[in-house]
Amino acid sequence: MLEIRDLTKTYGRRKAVDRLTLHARAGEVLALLGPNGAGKTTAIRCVVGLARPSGGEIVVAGHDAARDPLAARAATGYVPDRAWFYPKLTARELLRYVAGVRRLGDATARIEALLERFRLAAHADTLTEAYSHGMRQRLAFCVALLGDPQLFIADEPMVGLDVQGHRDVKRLLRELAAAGKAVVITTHTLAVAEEVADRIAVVDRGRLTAVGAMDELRAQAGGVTGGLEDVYLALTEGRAA
Amino acid sequence: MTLAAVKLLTGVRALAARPVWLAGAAVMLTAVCYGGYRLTRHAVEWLYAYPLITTIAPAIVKRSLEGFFLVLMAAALFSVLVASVGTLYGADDLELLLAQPVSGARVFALKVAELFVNAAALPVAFVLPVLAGVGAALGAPPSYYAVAPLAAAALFALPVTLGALLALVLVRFSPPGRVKEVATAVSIAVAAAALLALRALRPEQLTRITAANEAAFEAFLQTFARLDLGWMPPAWAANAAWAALEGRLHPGLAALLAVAAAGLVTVAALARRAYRRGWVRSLDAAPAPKARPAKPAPAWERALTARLGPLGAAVAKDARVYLRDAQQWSQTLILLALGGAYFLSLASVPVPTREFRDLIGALNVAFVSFLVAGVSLRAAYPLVSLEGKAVWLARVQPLRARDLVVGKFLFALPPTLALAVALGAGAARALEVSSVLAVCAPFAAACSALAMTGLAVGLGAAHPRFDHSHPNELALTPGAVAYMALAVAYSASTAYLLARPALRAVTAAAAPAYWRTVEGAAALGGVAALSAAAAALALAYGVRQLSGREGAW
Repeated sequence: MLEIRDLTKTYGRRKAVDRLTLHARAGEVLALLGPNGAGKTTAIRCVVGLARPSGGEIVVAGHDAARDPLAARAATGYVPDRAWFYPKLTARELLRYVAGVRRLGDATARIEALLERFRLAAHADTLTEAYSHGMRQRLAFCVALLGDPQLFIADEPMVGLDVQGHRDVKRLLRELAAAGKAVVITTHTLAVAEEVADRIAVVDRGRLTAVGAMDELRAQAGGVTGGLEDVYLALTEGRAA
Repeated sequence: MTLAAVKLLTGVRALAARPVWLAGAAVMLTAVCYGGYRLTRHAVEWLYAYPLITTIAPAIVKRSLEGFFLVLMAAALFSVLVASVGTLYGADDLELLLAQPVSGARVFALKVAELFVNAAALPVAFVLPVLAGVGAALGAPPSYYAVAPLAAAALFALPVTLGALLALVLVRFSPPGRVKEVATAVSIAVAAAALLALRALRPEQLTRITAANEAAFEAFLQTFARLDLGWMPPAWAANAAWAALEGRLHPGLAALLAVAAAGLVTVAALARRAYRRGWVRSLDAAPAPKARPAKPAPAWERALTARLGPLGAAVAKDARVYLRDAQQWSQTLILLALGGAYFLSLASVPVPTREFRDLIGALNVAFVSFLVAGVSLRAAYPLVSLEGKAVWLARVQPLRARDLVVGKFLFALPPTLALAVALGAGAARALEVSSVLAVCAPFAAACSALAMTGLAVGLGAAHPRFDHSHPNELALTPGAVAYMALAVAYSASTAYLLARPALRAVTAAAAPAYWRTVEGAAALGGVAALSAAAAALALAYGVRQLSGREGAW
């Protein structure tokens, strides 16, 4: 569903992402882990169209993101780490706007269902300028899921959410995978990655250090025993998550 | 490092980060200041050399200074109201500063100083060359160049005090979360009312007093010289400057400094108290949520989306956001006031003959173009930048940059077109111009609306500033300056293309059939082609630049 081949992104002389090759299959949750500045968010921004790759190739649902960006974006739902919206629109109006630009036709039923699911129905007619960070984050999920995307990407999806929100999101990620979607998340919360991800990719200094299920990661870390934290620290030479 | 030093360093770094803008602004400011200095010096020297009025020349210069101070005080008051809400009560760094081991009094003293610099720096920059011109013309002693600027700076503390007190009232009593909107609307309404009031005074009557009618001119100057503003602070500042010219210190200076200092200290103390007592919660408090049954999208929104697809959805969103945001729609008030002032001006022009009416009508075609350029600078140029921090959302959707830019154009065009055609056709009708110009004026106005909207949206898309803090600042960016330069070039080109038909209308009273001649059709066709090309090229440039932008577009 998502193919990243030799993705490189440079800012001046600095390589934020260095020949990253990675894929996410339909029906799985892939978690990207890595220290701050490892290149996780930059790679994701390249996939969703917010940054232009300096090299390499990105294919989303069979669409080359460079040659056919609109089709690639139509197949993708994205939740950023800090979601900003038009402050003078209500949640319902914002979702109608997204439905319009995605050519979804009459999306009223889907909009109401998403607002209900993410506990925003009572605030659906409140301007988003009055939303808390957690509410904005939940609205970002509604926006990302409105078009029923084949690829769902979330950058630090748990930030700003309450306990209930955490549980909802973890359940959602598994549901999406069960429905045949490819799910990619970045997170610094190792417990979340361990709990919801089918595979985990560790990125460090712009490069892929290791990828696979827990057993595969342990093997790639030189046979480290223990939990994800031990494996992660071994793979990143102790740099903070 | 002191708080003031940190603030200063931040300001210097912000300026250094935009060297082109800084250089352009410095050149423009220097040119304006030098022009002001030369003009003032020349005017004062001319006045003192005028034979009939040497005895009242000092009084006239003094009254002029008072009037100048008064106008700039009003301008400072206009800008300080919105600025004080943001600086004193809603600044991003306020909580950080108050959490430090620094007394609250020092923090708010710094904030008041920041507000004073923001509001008074530009007026003082305009006053200095005028004071220097007066001083140079009248051979002022060195002490004058210290005392006069000090008096002027102290004068501008008064609007800062007044604006900050008004802002405090707004912060206390505005509906939750609506303070900035209310402050902006109040400021714009005051500015629009002032503009119309100034226009209603019909200052053009002064132009009827000519040098040929010296008795009337002298009588006017005598009256002007006798005007007494002595009880108003601008007169205190003018008196202080005048006394300094003669090497004396005027008691008005002490009064001015005392009032200014007391005002600023009071404002700082009140702001601190207001913050402590939680009055400023109306800045960020949100109305209580209300669960309402889901309503379908309104018919106009459904129609736009159904007919134009993603483009229609973008236009519908823009319309909704524009009408809800006081910072955006309140700009319309001042534009309407400008239009009203323009009509009042035309109505007051004496039009004794047909030739003169046609001459004014021909000039009106060019004026409308300039007016539309100004309107588009405020209403159309900022549209892409107004996507703000939410621009990521458009970027990750299957929405082309072309749809976004063209959507802004389609949103801005109808009101600009309506305003331009109303001004062009309305003025032609009011002036009862000949039929040739009656056709030309609305046509040229419509073309001008098309070109200016395209230029503004295109240049705004090519040079967006998504991290702006207020739409007003977008009109001062390098992209906006480039837009104005192109708008002037377009207006000049249109005037050139229509010069011959206008001349024929004025001198020969050509018939409406003129527009069916090769010459007439070529003129109109040329204007239409130029306008369409200007709009299309600017929009294409904007789309290309926006598509190539990294990150959040």
